[in-house]
Amino acid sequence: MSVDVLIVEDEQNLSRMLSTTLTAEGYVVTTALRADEALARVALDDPLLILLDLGLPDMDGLSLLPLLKERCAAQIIIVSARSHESEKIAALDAGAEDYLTKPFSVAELLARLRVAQRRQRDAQPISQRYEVADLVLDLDKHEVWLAGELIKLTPKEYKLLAVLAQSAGRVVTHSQLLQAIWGRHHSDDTHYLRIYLRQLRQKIERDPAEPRYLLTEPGVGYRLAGE
Amino acid sequence: MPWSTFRPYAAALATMLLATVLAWLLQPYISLPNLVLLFVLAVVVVAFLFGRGPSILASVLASLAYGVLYVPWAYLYWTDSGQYVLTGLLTIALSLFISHLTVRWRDVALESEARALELERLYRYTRELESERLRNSVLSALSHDLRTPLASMVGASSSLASADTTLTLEARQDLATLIYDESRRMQALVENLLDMARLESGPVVLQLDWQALEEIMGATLAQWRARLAPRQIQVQWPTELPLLRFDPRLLERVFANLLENIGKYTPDNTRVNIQVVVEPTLVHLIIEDDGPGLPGDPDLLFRKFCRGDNAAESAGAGLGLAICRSIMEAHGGRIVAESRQPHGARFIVTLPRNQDAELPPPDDEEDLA
Repeated sequence: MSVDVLIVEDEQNLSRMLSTTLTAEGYVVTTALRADEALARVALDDPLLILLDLGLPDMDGLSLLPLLKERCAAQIIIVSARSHESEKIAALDAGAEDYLTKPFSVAELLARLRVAQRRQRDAQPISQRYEVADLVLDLDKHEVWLAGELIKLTPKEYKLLAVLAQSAGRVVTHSQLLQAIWGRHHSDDTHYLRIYLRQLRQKIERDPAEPRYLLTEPGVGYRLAGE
Repeated sequence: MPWSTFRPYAAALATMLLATVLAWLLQPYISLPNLVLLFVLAVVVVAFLFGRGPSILASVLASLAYGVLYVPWAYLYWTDSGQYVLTGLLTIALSLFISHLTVRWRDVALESEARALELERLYRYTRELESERLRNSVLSALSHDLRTPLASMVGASSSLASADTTLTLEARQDLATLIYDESRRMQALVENLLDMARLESGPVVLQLDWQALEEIMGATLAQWRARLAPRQIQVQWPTELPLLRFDPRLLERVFANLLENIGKYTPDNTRVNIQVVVEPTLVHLIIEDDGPGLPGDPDLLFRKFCRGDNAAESAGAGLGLAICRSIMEAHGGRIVAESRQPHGARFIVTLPRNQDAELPPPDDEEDLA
């Protein structure tokens, strides 16, 4: 039987809560309490998804992340405490799929897992169409529709939306966005993003300050609503 | 005479002997006036180190040494001797005078040092008293605020977990919701305690970056709207809002604490109004409500562990606003509160606007679609 989710978490109770909940949701779950155990398990189980707590006793989660990625093709969702933004960003930039901030609700966890699963399923080719609620993005035709109306975007606005749409439902860090749109020399120019996000929200959000689609992850990046 | 009284004099004698030997060795190389100054310097050293009595002894020794070493005996009884005698007398007078000044200066310095020590001791003592008082109020607030939700959580979860339960599905749902609500309350409290500990543990390290105020306020509001319902929340954003440099997570804490207070201290039919005022060098974010208003002096609410009189029945350690103030001050901004007429509260969060963000390179205006 193939394993869906590997939970790498040293807190036994938290691990138990997660595996009980995910098992009830129909996932096949295994757990590891330590980094060495996690490395042994990925080789055996070849999980589809890994929930990785960055605060493990025997190894720094950021060092474990690349080792896990070497050994399996699983999508890795990291679990970290609030106020550890730089740690989250480092993990995301190192290839983690997404993150959850402790304490998180089961609804959040399941939403992240669904997005990760979907991305894994259609990893090749990337979906050419994004459609959530009233917003439709056609990546082949470079068209954006809102409630049946064609929306005019500048090239950079479109690029920004397209990059987010290719990772729909998933957080994209500031530097990932900046590099994709303005190039590597601008990876610190977060004010570009603020300005373009503002313009973009003016065009596609009903209430730009409380967006429905272009969600802010303060201190980390942006997420295009995935469902 | 006990040795301790005698010792400074012996030390003075030794110093002057040393000066004499030095003068003797240097004699071929330096002139007479400089040699006299060498003795005066030795007297000053003695006065500084050993006080008045030894310095008088040193003055006398200085003029004697000078006399013995440099006044040729033959001249003593002849006409030219006057100059030497005058130098000797001046040396002794100068030495006495300088030693007197030095000793006085030394006494003043010692005294003020003693006074500073005493002041510091007093300061430390009052600080200890203050922190003792704080500790007590923290402990009582914490034991209440952590135990109360814990009690409901333990009770509710134990009946859910018991094997021979006869609970209906509805009752289970109810208990689970209760556990969820209480744990959210505890979470808020723990977050505030951790924040306070972090803010107190040293200078606040800000992750400053260009930020859009409406984004951070909007993200915070998104988390709070449901919990504040059915209160009506109106937000008005100005058309031109400059980007500001601040730490997004910390400002999120400020907004969350202010919204949490609205949830705690205002009735369900309260209307909340959020607006932004942009000035040339400042940006104010104003949160107003038409709830019961603030108890007493609004400024006291920002003190640690200080809570309004009507706050007793709701959970909280009185940390939220103190955290807000620390955060705003770390940003070079401020936060103030005032009561509104006829009733209601107003909180004004102010951020400095020192410079404006540089604009991104122009985008091609051609339409893609």
